[in-house]
Amino acid sequence: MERLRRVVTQIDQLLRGELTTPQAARSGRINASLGGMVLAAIACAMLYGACMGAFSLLKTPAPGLDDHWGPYKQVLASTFKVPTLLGLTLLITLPSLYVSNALVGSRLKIVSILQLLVASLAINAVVLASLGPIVLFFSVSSSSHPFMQLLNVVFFTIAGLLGLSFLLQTLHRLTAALADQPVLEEITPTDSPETTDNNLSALEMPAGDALANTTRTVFRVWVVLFAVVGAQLGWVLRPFIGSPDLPFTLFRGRESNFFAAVWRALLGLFS
Amino acid sequence: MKISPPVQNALGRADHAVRELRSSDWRCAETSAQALATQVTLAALIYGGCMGTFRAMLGADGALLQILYSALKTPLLLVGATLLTIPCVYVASSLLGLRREFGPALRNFLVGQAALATVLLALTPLVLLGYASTPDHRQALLVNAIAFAIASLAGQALLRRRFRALPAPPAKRRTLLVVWLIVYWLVAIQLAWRMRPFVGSADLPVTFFRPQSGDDNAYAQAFKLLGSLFN
Repeated sequence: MERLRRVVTQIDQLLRGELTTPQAARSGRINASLGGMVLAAIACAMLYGACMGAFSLLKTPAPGLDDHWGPYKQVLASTFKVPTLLGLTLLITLPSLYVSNALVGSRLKIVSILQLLVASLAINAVVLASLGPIVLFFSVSSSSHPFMQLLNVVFFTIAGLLGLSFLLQTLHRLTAALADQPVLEEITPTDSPETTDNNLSALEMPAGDALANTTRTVFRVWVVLFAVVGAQLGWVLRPFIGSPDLPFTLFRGRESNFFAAVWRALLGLFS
Repeated sequence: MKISPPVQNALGRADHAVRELRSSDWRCAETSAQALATQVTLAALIYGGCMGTFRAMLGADGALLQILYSALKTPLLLVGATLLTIPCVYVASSLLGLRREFGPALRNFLVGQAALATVLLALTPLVLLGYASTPDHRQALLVNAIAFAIASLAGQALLRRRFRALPAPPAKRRTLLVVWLIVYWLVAIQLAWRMRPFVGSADLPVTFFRPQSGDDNAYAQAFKLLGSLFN
């Protein structure tokens, strides 16, 4: 119980930006427990998943479809698929981010990067969960499958944009805090031979700044990669909503892609 | 003519409740959330009841049931749509750094709802006159649509005024209000669509909700209509 309260308080502080104020970012990392954030993100994503899957409930089955437990299986499957989607997207994109980040000479440690990413995924999941009641309401009150697909795409986009802008903003603060440190060293003059390298990099302040800029570019590119991977992984892991005309299956066949499907749903809405 | 004290008292309280909507106190310290919710519910209940009288004026059967259903559904619509917005607006207010202002903002939002319901209540006689003038179901729908449009505009104007008093950076409180209104309308339109009939066509049986069908999504219907315009 005590742990639960700690996790909730921490997520709340994260949302309100108390853990990532410029002062707090001075330490170069987010002062929050990784496990707590992971737990909160999973719980929130599961909640949203259940709301998504609820579309298959309360519907009259299509003729020829006689699967009594199908809708319940869909709710259960979606509940676990949404956290899987977020987690797998992170796992797939993390190695490339880490390596390119290290290659451009960023000073961010891998633990800090992981923390930052998990924190932004937690924000993403909390925003999703907060939109859950609306999805649930549309799920049970309407039977238009293309509409539900597009509504969920829009909600995922909103949550993703907020999570990723949190990521970029916090990254900016963290790198700004890290970039401050050499300046401090520069003020206290040290002529000892061990610190010549340090002095060199400190003297090249514009270069140091440029490095921070490359880090930011790497993250910006990564954000796009994350969005594309997330979208396509979402397509691979489908069905999340469950077409009313198809029987329940855990996964569908390998065909088409996310963007073509969104386009089809859009056309389907107009006809 | 002498007005008896209980009636005077009730009129005084109603007058106070209506005037209080325009108060400039952003904390809504004087009016509690419960009082506002009661005001919304009562006003919407009466308007809903009158909205349901169309059947009775035509002399169709099931008129009493329609009045009862419409009276129950209208407050359900206003309160339900507001409740559905709360989780995501709460998270939005946290992300915007307006968590401390969320409580007052919610009370002010309720004030907007109360204003909407009160304007609806004031328009009730006009709606009844509209009903008395036409046996056409579509014209009856139009009368109600106009009443709702006027009431929503009034509610929105008041809401904007009250949000301006919130002690928060203008850009942030504006974003919060815009998010809130978008979510509210998104939900309210579908809720209203699904809760039909409010007026009740004389050709259809009286039901609380329309049964599930292919046209039960308001937005899907709107898109379909758009698509058919261009085909």
